[in-house]
Amino acid sequence: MWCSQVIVFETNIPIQLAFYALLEHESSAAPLWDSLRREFVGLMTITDFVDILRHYHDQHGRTGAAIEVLASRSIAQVLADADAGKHFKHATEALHNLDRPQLAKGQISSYGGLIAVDTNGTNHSHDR
Amino acid sequence: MIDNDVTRIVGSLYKACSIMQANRRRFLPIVTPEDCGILAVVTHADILEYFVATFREERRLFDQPVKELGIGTFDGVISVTGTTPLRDVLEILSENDFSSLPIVDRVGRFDALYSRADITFLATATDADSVVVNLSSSIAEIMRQRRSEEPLHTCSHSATLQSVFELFADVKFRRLVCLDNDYRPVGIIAVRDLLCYFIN
Repeated sequence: MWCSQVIVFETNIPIQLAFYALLEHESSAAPLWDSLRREFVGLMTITDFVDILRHYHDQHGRTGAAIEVLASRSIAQVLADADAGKHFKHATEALHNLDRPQLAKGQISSYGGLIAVDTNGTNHSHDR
Repeated sequence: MIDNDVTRIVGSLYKACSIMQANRRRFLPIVTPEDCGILAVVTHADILEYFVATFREERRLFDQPVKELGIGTFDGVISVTGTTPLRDVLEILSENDFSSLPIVDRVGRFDALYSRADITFLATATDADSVVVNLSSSIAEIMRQRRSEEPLHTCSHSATLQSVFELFADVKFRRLVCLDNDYRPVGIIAVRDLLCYFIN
């Protein structure tokens, strides 16, 4: 019934990479994994990404440079952005409300920051 | 069960629907309890598809118009004309938490539907500056650049629940635009609206 593959992003990867990964996998949402805290900290959707982009565009003078500022940020940096305001609501709300399952060390091994977990419980790495 | 945004696989579909509805979420991660793996990220459409596949033949639904049953958005449908800049369209979508916006011609007849998840303006951009240009482009221009066109599904404003449900079973629409006799958009029925009706 449901897509058997789920993409998970580590929050330390550039948000631009996450966006292209969503596109490439024709996926419109991916849970966010903080590998330092070893827990899920949110959910990134295509819609969030568009809102975040619009926010940077408006906040940084509506220029190409504004978009480049965003492109250089990691997911974690964007989530931590104090000026984020309402456009980050969805993503940050998920931060507060998500039941945070914690994994024992080594349960998910990550390679290069991007993990895909399929329903067989095996992890596939995606080279950047 | 838990009362937050992740549903564990022991939870019911009903619980999953309730969590999504309460939080106005469009996606819900499903977590396996033993190893905290994420099994899937489900949407309203996934759940409704399951219901349709399972229960379609069992019971005939109401022949009452969806509008009367209060399914979908019929009050305060906002539409814009093709000359509206993409930036403004995205602003309206975000401000109202809409997932799509009807585009109409000069006399208000339905022309196209812009989805909030449409990222044509990013996919066609070659660099950061062209993203900015695209944000200022008219919505009609952005729609012309689309690579794949999402099929448009419309119904009459008097469509019954049974007919809408049958249409979903056949074409798996994400949104259905209800038109009046002059082809003006008067309502939008999202998959989420249908599902919420059933779980309430």
